[in-house]
Amino acid sequence: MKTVYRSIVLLLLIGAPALFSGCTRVQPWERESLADPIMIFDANPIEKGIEEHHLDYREGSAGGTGAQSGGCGCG
Amino acid sequence: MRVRQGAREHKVGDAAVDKFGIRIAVMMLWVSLPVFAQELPPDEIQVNLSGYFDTFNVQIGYPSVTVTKKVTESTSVTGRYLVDVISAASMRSTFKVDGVTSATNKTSGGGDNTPDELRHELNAGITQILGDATLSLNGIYSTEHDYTSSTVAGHISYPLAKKNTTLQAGVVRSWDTVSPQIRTWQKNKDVLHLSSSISQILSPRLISQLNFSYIQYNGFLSDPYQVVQILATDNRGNPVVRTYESVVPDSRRRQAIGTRTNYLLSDISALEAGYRYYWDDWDVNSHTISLAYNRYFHNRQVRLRWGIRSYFQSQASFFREHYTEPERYMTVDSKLNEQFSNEYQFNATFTDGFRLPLLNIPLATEHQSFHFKLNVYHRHTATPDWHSRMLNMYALIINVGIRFEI
Repeated sequence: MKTVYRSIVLLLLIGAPALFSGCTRVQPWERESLADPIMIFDANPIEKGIEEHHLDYREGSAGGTGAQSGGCGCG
Repeated sequence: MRVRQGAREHKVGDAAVDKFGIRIAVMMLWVSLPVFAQELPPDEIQVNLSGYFDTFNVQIGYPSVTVTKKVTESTSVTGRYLVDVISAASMRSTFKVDGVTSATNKTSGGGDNTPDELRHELNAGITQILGDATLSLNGIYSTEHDYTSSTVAGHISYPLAKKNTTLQAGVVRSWDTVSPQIRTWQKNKDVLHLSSSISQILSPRLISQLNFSYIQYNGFLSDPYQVVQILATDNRGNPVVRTYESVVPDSRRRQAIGTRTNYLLSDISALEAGYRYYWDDWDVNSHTISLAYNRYFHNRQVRLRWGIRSYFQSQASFFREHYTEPERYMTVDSKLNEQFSNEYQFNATFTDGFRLPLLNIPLATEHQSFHFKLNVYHRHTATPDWHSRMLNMYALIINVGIRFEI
């Protein structure tokens, strides 16, 4: 059951952006607002790193958030 | 019997702490995956002062300074120095282990009973634009009293579909050595972290990102400062409490897949939503959902962000609150317990000459910005924490920083 559930979640996560991406083509001059700091994921990587690693230690999960981690003893 | 057990638990509880985890808690390769390829990071000096305080009596302060400078039109270099300053009140660990291994204190190296309160971390990196791709390489070295770590990392971004899509891939490799203060041995741990990501512009107001991580741990994965206590009887039939080292498998395969989407609500506000699913071969599974609202104020000089993150996790297959007899794997580590947590996030960034109203104090100039972060974290475990005996942990994470353009 777990495997089935995981597969469904994975398919949804992978499939959704792929489905949407096929029908969009945003021109360069239309992307100005996407470069605004409020539209950038993790605009401050150092703050993001601090946040992620505290969570790594307090919780049993890691990864999948867009930041790369390593060199920690929080196994 | 109860008195004796209680006394023993009290003694161990006083001594044994999360020292191991605390001291490496901020070791991290701070690399964010840029949404757009072919971009070098800005030339700047960033000074940060961060703090962590929780109700399990842990306090950490860690100042850092980061310098990023473009050396050619297509090359940028980064250097960072960070130091941890950790509360010593809970670091005097002097307990012995009855079973599994016989521990005695060493007289040098990690066994001199004088715990460091400092950890030093050095980071050097380079980012290079190669054609359409952006490549970055980083190296980190961290050293402290009983733990050293060396890390190298590489990351590449490549745009596709007229830059509507960005593919990213990264690899991180770490080699760590732990030589605990209260043990006679020294052990190693290796980490391999592979990550990939795809960012997709879906409309002029909407961008989405999908992330996947595969992390392989090998070596010593336990916490040498945590112990497992088992109630037993001696030769005369009297009850005794035996104390064992925590033992976990020497490998762990971890995987996570997550997605996040950012939608521009108006010229001054945006809404970000995210979800992550995590699973590993220790039977830990988790779901994480997050939501954040960003908005400009004061002629875009002030940027505020409010966020909430909720997390739900199952327990590792071998985790127990109590063990009745020694088992192959034993751990009481709360982060492997069934749990949920909520984090409430607030960020403020001040730019472009912002001055505090009424006081007229400048917080930012044209070339310098100021930022502040406060996160309030609450974790609830299914059974009490092995050390504090509490179900709930509350923590504050605070960061203030200044970025100077150079």
